[in-house]
Amino acid sequence: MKSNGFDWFKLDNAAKIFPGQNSNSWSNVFRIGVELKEEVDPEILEKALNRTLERMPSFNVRIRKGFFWYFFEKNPNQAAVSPDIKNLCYRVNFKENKGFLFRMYYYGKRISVDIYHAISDGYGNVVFVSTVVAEYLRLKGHNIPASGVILDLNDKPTKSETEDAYNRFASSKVKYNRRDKPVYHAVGTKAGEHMCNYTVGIMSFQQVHALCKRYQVTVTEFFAAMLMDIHYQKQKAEQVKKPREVSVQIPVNLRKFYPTDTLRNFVLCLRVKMNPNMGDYTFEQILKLVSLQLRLANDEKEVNSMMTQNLKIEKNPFTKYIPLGIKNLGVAITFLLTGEQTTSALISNIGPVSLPGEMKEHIEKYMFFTGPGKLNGARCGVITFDDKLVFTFSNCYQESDIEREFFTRLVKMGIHVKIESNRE
Amino acid sequence: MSYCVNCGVELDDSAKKCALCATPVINPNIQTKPEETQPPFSSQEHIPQGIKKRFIAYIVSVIIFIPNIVCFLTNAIFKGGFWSVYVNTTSFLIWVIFVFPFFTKKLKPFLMWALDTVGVAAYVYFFFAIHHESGKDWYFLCALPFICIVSLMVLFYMLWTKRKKRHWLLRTVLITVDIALASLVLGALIRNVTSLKSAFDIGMIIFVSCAVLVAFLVYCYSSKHMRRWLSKRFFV
Repeated sequence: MKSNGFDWFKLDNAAKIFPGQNSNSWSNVFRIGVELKEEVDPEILEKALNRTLERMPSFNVRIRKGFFWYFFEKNPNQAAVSPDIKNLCYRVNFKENKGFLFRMYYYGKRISVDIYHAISDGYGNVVFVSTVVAEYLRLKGHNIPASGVILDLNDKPTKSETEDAYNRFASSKVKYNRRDKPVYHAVGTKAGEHMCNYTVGIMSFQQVHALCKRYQVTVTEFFAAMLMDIHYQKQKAEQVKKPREVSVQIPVNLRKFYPTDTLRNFVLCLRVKMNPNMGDYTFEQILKLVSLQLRLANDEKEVNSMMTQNLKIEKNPFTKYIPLGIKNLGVAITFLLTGEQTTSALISNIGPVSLPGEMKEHIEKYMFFTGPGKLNGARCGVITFDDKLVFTFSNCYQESDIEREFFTRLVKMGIHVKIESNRE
Repeated sequence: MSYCVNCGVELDDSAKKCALCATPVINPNIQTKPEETQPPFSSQEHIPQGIKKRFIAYIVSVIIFIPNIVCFLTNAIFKGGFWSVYVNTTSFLIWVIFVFPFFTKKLKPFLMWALDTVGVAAYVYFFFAIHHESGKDWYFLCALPFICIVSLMVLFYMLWTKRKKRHWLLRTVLITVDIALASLVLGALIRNVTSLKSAFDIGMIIFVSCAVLVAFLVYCYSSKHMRRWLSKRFFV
């Protein structure tokens, strides 16, 4: 077979950690869903998917074990679509699903892709799903041009789309210092193995934006502060002797700092935190705290030092030349000790999705679900399309008090919220 | 279009109750029933196969099976009593208790309970009773009733803890009560089958000691004052 240079890839720097800690309760799978205005035809969808995969080689892969590292190999199989399920984002098994590391589902008017974080991040998956949907609409007879996040299927895939951008841009000379303590977790009764509760709040972006403008913060900062405040109040109500810090993890898309076309992982997780032992905080104070911390951390120099530090671990000869099995064990232990211990909640905001005008009229809304967490009851995804801002909670516990507090607060602030959920 | 009267959020047309606070949706103005509209999420749950767990269980089963078949065949070819029954029954019991649970997708405690009871009863019968004339009397008058009683106790404990989480003191009390009753029953059974008269007395001693312990634990459980006093005196 003739090689086109996309036969195999190394995992990128962020992806390297995921296969080692792939477990039932921590799946590292997230979902992007697109709701159309008409019922989905699975046969046409499957055709559109396989056409798109030829254009996007970094998604058309299966994972293999090397002696030292995992690697991606071109998947010779045809991908298939299946009816949607209730327990979305359950773990990926490398041998199931013909080796594909994503699963495409259809349900009524919705097309969804559960994707393993090792192959791409939120932005990459939005590009992938949108390109599939655009091709689907084309096959249905609509004329959809390739602009915005839609890739042109007639173009050849480029090397830069599959590059490990961390490797190219990490250049800091400053040692990034990670000092994290175990933080507060709002734990409850587990929802059951392979099961996670998802609650979706659909709001008007204009309304939310106006509200944030009133507080002079961004949407991400506002939501992060709300989550932090809810956790802070919850810990206060529990009356623990020594309250722990509350921290919110916020992944940032590094493409805004560095010029790259990569569709693979290019995000870093920032963390904002507050210490309840300092005294009592009001929501406005927390909002200010979050906003200032985030603006300070969300800086090119800061993220570069963090990125370089991550890369150093990978390049270290000690870690480099350890056989894969031992590496996996190390990753699993490290993850158990740190991992979610250092974050109380997560909020990932993909931001607005830009689509060509011809396509917009066929799309109702976008949805973004972060995968289930091991400890965190509040792992939130935000995505905006047109005027629809969709806020999603992934909660591994049965209790819904955090979601309720969050959405009722918004209602009290004058935001109209529509709720959908997979809870019974 | 319905709203939750408690949370103030709009709900999906298919919702029978609020997803945030479980308040039921009652809206006389809506003509379509919630069942007639498609819910926002699929109701099909997909439980992925636990390949790794089952695979290991399968391998262990094969490892246990091979020497057993070898023993069985050797015994069948070279006659000299049914010695292979000891190997086979022991291996089977080990398999039922330790390997079989890994074959089911979810842990099924009541199935396990039933299988383990039958397994132990069969094991004792084949291992100890089958070759002896007097063994059968001993088995049916003493061993089998005792196994059944212990098994029923375990079943009661499972049902009792399944409904809600019990305080650890209460759980200790129940286990102690079980030990007391089991020792008494065992003493009585042994006295009936053999001429060992002192067996019942030993059972009685264990019963009385357990009863005293149970009384103390129940008192600790019911008296907050006592618990506070103990934690004050014995803090570390």
